[in-house]
Amino acid sequence: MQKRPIILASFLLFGSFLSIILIYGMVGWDVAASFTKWTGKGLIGEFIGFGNYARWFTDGALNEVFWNTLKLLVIFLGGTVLIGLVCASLLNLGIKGGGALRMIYLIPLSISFVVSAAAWAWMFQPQHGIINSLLRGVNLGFLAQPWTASTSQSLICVAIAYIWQFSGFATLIYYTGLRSVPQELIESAEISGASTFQKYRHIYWPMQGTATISVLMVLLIYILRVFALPWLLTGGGPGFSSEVLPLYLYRVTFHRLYFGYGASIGVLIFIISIALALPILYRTLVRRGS
Amino acid sequence: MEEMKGVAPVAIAGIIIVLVVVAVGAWYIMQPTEEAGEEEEEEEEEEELARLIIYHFWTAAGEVEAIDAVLTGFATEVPEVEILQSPIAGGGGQVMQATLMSLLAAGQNPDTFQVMTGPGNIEAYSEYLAPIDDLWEEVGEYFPEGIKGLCTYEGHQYLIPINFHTVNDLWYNVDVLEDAGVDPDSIDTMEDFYDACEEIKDAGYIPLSIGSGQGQDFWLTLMFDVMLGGVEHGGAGYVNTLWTGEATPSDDDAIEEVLTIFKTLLDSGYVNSDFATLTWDQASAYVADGTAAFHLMGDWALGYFKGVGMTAEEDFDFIPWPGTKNLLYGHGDGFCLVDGAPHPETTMEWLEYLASVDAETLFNPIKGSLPPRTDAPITDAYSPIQKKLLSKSTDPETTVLGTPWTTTSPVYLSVMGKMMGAFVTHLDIDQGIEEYADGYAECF
Repeated sequence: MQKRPIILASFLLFGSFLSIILIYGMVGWDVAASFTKWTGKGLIGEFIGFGNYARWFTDGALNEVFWNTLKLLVIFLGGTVLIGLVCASLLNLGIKGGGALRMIYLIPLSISFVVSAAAWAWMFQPQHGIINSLLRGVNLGFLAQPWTASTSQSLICVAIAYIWQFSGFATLIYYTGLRSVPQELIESAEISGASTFQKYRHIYWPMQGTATISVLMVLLIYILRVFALPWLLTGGGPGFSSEVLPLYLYRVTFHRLYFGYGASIGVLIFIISIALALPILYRTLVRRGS
Repeated sequence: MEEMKGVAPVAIAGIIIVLVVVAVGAWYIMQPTEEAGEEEEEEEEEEELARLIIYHFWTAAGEVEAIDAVLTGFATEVPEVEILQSPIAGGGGQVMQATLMSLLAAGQNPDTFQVMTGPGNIEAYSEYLAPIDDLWEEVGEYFPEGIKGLCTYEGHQYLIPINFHTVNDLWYNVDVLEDAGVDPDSIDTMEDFYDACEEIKDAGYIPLSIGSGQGQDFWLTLMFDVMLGGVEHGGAGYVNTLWTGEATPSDDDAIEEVLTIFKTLLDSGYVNSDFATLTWDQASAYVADGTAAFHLMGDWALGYFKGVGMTAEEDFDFIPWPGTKNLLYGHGDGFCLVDGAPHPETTMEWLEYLASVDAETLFNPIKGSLPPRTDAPITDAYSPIQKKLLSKSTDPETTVLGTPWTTTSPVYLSVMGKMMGAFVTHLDIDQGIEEYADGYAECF
């Protein structure tokens, strides 16, 4: 390799320049477009200053969609982390067939969102869906819910589907994290007579900071650009009850042809991503530095 | 570090080279594609290959067969043409619109594509279309003035219409109504309809089936618009004012009346509780399988009912929505000529063919729509229901109205759809009027 620095350099540079053009260049284009009144004709529209940004504060739908996105973020991150940690801890107890279970936990992640959206839509269907049918079948019909047909539950339905799909991933990361806890610590705790729960409460779980950061980063990046599941499961409805920012961006841009306003919503998503990711990144970097 | 120093000048040189390559590449890509297009055209002319690149959004049962029949007819008429058709499914054409906007912006022009009739819909594409006024000079006399108006934008004609769909049709399951003891022909007013609903509900059926889920809130808007024609302060005159942007919805009683109809229907339990999760055809299925009695939907439902094996008039039939007996709401689809189409001559041949009686007679019986040409013969290929609608369309007492889908921009469907989708969840009339007025201000 040392003999061929030119080849090495050109490979590296070509890749990095592609990403600069395709990622940072496009981000720049989006920001530029957000200052224009663009209807999708031509490469960009007429400059209108902060018009699209001013509209954020008068657009009631955007307000609802913004809070929906944060709600989904909290429910999804909380649910996935919790289920992942519990499943990983159970696996770590050394259940028989743990290897097979790990595989099973990961299967949902490999399923296409289109397929899982269709499956969950059938399950949540209030009239004929399997969840309500089962409840009615065992005489618990009073527990049957309107699920995706209700404004108060549709976003939760989307969150449930996502938690189902991603908790296997969280489990796997946490399982690796739990396995990497030094065995000496556990042994000394056992000698001191710590119960299983105490071992987890005081040794295993407090040492999962790095694993949690990895899980949170990946899930965060993912959930801020969700599209397929809510689009196919609820279409953002009823009303705007399960609409999240990427859906609204698409709707505004391609259905209503407000490309400029859509671009400004892209900027909003970008700002939220940075705002949420920076503290986590900062913590990681500070740790590495020390 | 020594090595790094060695690499640095190379890296700088590399950066410069890549920058130059990228800049030249970008400059080349950004060039107008006309030249490239002309070259391709010349090449193709040399090969004597006539092509037609066509986009449409007819992908459901009945729709595919209809467009295939017309394209086959065109291929028989002009045998040397190679047809490249790209059907794009989804969202009443909204998915195709997104695709086309990207293609057109990138200069990858098709020759022709499906556009819903109406100035608002033409406007969305206006910069990319070439007027076809000359062709309209030739064929104009065969089409009603109203239809011509729907193909016109800023004084020029851009579309050749192929069909006309009516939307104020209340479909019903004949057996269900018989079982519930309801005579559909006696339903003239909303009071009659509520009475019928009560009887149907008592007989154990869902009175009215709605499907506005999975992003299809716009069906609620379509129902809303149809109901506007039937309420006391509504009617054709009001509707025309409303859809030209001249109304003040916050003060208009008609809006309140229609929202009240929705509230009554939903509060009385006349609508399937899962309406917010179903698509329109899943709601039609409730009528088809005898779970529900009525379904308010455009006449493409006819194609659905026939498709699932029901016989018109025996198993299913329709009445006009209460209060809209003398109204015929509708919209159609047409095809355009793209400005800078790669094969303009073939495209003109296609549009000429489309304007013919032959094309309309091949297409409409299968699609379930009405032919826009006044001289198109009513053959036995049309179902009895289509014949009823056709005779209604020529009845002098009937007022033909374009739906707002034809008069407003595509924004209307999206904005008003979401507005109605939200209204049916809270059913607060005052809030609904306010939201309608806000949406209206955005659309007009």
